[in-house]
Amino acid sequence: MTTQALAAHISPSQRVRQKLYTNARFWIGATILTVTFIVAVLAPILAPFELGNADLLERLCAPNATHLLGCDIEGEDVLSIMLFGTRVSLYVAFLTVIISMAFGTVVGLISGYWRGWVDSVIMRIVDIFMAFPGILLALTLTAIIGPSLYTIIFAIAVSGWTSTARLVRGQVLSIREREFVQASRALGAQSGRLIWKHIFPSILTPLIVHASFSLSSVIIVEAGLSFLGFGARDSVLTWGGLLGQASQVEVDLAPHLALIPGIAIFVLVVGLNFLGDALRDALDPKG
Amino acid sequence: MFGFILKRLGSLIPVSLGVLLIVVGMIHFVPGDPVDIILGDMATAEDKLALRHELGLDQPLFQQTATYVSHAVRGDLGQSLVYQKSVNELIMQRLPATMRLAVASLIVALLISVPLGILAAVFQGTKIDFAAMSFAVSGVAVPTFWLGPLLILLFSVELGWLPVSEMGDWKSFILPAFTMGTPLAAALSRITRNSMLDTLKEDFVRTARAKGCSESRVILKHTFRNASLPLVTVVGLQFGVLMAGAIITEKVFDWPGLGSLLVEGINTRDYPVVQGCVLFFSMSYLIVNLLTDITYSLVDPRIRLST
Repeated sequence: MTTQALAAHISPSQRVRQKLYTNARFWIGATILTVTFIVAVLAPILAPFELGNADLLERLCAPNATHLLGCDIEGEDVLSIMLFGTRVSLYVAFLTVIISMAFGTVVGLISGYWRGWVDSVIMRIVDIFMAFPGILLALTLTAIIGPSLYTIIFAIAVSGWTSTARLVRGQVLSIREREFVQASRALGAQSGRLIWKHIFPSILTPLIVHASFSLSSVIIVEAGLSFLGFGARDSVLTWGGLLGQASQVEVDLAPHLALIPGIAIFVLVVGLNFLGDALRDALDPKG
Repeated sequence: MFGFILKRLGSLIPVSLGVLLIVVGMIHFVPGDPVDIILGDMATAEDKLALRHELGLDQPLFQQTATYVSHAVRGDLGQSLVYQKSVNELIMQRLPATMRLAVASLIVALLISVPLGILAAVFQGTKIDFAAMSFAVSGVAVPTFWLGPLLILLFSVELGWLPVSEMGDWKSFILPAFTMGTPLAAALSRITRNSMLDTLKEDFVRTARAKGCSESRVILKHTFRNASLPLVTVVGLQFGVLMAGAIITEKVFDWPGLGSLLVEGINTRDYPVVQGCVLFFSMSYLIVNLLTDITYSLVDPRIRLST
């Protein structure tokens, strides 16, 4: 049997799995994400110090035998903050992505399915929100409402839902014309059933890929807001919060404050991007 | 062509109005009374009344929007509460620094990404390609607020080659431009590579080779010139993002640009400055996008025919 003939016997889901498992980027990304999750879950066991026991005499101390990653501006152990901060950073990233993608998906489904004036109005609103480049809208909203964990989640979600809405709308516009949707409509299926049973499952693939890239961008935006001094002040420090502290002191006074959370953010974002790339390659039917 | 430009200009109007509405409405997101927050507890009732009137908060939201829009259209973005200057004057003072930084970053990004993208495409599947694409993946992931301090530590503190911060001679541009340009360079190198790979498969490239053109001529003159079109679009679209990205880079390098003006405005609760900066950033982003669309449609007529 030729290779092509063998390939023809592989089901689509087997092909996706095969592509994923042979992609080094998938394994690197999945490993980084899994390790980050394990660290977040085991933070209370792994952390050498309890949070809230700052030693003022150790303020900004460099990494040493007692404090492996040094101390922060208040004398708190940086390693412990990083470990507990993993939980908060992941919590913020996942909650923001869930909220913004859920909202964007509903809006995109409505816009793409009903088309006409509904689509025009929704797309103009999307254009308006997209007119605020980069971190601008999230920064202004966080600053105006007042920095807290939930303000940050709200602000990043408000500025992030538009990309999902556009993606979903584009997908729906093409899927709603496909034969299986037309057939179901001809058999008398209602709009709700068509959207939920036929269209939504078909857009899950691009949504999963989009989610991994969204997670990485939310992590960077959250850290950026914290760096600018608009991070959450009502909870355990996030990784970005430590970077925010670093921006308050001279860079050569406590380089570890900027370096350590920066490395963590960089590694996690690279992992998520690798995962997104691998998923996109594996789920691409043309690939 | 004229019809296309008119249509694009027409679509800009509702979007600009929406942006204005958000900018005016922003101040109402302030928890509690913005006047109390700006003036503090010690202010007298007269002071509060005067500021309320100055900010137009004693008018209904619709009227506030109408007033702000009519002033903004005439180029009047109001009066700063802290600097005792008009917001326009402040923006114009700070704009050159941000523009210079954005242009320098764009130059850095193009100088890195174009050769890298071409090399990656020409040597597809080799170690050069792998190295270039590894840079593309990691460069996008590197946060500017981390790269900036890292570069300062290495080149200013350790080696002492470049100034730590603040705008001065050309040397002071190097670190901020690299900080801001690296993520863009990473994204552009990927686009250059993909576009080059697509173009290398075209018939005219094969014809050029068959005619006996040298490989460098085939790559640079025939392939890259045609492959650079998507690059032009992305550069145009990224310019607005680059300007907004200056908010963080300016903070790292203590750069006296628009980004720092916005952050100062937020910290001092100078809401007219915040509104003015946000509006300026958004409108420049919209206008740059419009100009990119028009330029691209001039080069590629399919764009204007499909809309």
